[in-house]
Amino acid sequence: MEPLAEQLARELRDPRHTLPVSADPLPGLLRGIQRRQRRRTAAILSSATLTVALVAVGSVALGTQNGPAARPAPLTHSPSAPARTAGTPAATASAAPSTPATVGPPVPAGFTGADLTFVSDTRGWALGSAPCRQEPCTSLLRSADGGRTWSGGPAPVALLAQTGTSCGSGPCISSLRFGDALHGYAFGNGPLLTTSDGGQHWTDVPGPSTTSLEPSGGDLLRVVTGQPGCPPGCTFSVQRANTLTGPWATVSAPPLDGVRTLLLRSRDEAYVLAFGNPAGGSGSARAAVIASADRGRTWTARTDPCSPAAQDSPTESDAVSAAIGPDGSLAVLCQARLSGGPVTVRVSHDSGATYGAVSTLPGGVRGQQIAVSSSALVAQVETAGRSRLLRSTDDGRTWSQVASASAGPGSGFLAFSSGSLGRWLPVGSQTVWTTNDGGATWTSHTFRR
Amino acid sequence: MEGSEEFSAFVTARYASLLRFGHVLSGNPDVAQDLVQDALERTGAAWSRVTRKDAPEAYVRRAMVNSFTSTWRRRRREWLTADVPDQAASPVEPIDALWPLLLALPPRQRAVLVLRFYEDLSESETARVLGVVPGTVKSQTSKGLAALRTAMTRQQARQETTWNR
Repeated sequence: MEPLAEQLARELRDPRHTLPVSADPLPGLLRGIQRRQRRRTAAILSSATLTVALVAVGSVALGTQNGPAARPAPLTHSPSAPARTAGTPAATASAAPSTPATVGPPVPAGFTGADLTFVSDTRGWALGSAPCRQEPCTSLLRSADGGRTWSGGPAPVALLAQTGTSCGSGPCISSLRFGDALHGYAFGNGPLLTTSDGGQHWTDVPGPSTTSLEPSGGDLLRVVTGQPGCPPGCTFSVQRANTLTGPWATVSAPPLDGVRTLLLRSRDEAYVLAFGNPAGGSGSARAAVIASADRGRTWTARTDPCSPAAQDSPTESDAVSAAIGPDGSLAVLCQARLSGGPVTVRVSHDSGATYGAVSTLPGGVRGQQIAVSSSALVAQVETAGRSRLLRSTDDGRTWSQVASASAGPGSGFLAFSSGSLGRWLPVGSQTVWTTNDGGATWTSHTFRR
Repeated sequence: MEGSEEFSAFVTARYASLLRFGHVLSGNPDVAQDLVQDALERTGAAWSRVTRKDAPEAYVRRAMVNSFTSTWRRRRREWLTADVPDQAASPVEPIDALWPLLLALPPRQRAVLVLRFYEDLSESETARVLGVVPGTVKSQTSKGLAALRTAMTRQQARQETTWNR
């Protein structure tokens, strides 16, 4: 950009151009819209009345020319005829303002979910796919009642990856987040796709692959890599945007190498975990963990709480999932590399600097993901081809099963959006599970309108 | 109103940004408020049609720009027969070197520069908002920047003359 254009851009973006929004503009706008609609209806009615009158006059003239026998019935040009004709659209118009909110198109048949995102207790979206004739078969559902009912609609045009499976040669998406009712982001191993109208239209944003992204409080953090595929291994960096529409700026952070990433945010705190590659079989393939206490502006390296040294155990174990609790605690789920080895949980109450005692889940399960409510730890595990939820209310000393679902391999979505409200979507499932009591009881709702 | 919840969410999320856009475009806080109000009323009245065919924000911006340029045309006709006002038409004090010069450009050219360098839209996105071809955006950008450059040079020359006296 030439210097003059740069100077102009700088001046135009100066914060002094921001005008204060003195009062809620919505009531005035809605009144204005109703006025416009009334005027439009009146114009249509006038036009319709005029047309009827002209037709009537024309008919009378024609009837006069053709003689009395051909004259139409007197009702056609009586004063009451236009009034009755006009009555029909008037009734329709008066009913229009009370039309209920759009329900939306039906859910595509056979829809299975891959990821969930909610911006309030009621409004959310589900990313998934439904059988179709030609790829991509990616679908996007909307809910306005907390996930009890869903409707279809436009979706990002991109292949959908099921966790743990490849997309083939092209880029694909696997995750979805919304920062508010309008601004959404779909991402995976390729360019970011964004919407600014609640998911009606999606745009490709050229740039590095976005592997993780989390909006919080009107800003954005994301983890990106310039490498085309991981494994064999990628170097990641962290980017931050002050608004939900960017622009992005890379922030300085300790090294992040691994095969996949997880970004966690709660208020000012943020964590990034870059998971190692246990398939490589190397004991040095540890997770990189970094923490921020200032909304992602500065970062500090933390140790991997699942390493044998950190667990004081000879068993090789890897971090596979993590979650932030309502009290700011960080819980990390660890999975032994050896088949049938223990699944353990470590909890930190000081931003990942130190961790409490190792808690071990019941044997014979494979750890998938973890979430933290105000009253319990909830872990999704897989055993005998079924995904189950285990819950502990005593910091992991004892665990009990609370819900189970049939699902494919992979984790899906499990998180609490408040101390008590949580949602679970096993990947490839046609059912969303919801809890309102911190994970003690769960209710399932199928994806349907 | 059909889709009123989505429209309300859109207004809540984008109102401040649209107001700022209106201010940068018009240079007048009251005009900015009128532009946003008018464009949002039009958008809300046709919300289901707008969201089916277009991105609502692009629609609102287009409505604001069109309303601004047509209002300017009307006002220019009025100004031709009106007395010279006691005060400047814009109550906003210039806060930078280029912005006051930008406000002196023809509205269409001004809109192109604002969309390109404030909204950071590409030539084709700007063309879509204004309903013109990208070539027009390119030429208007070039002419607008050239006009700013000339105005700056003149301003500097005037300042130098003043200092020399």
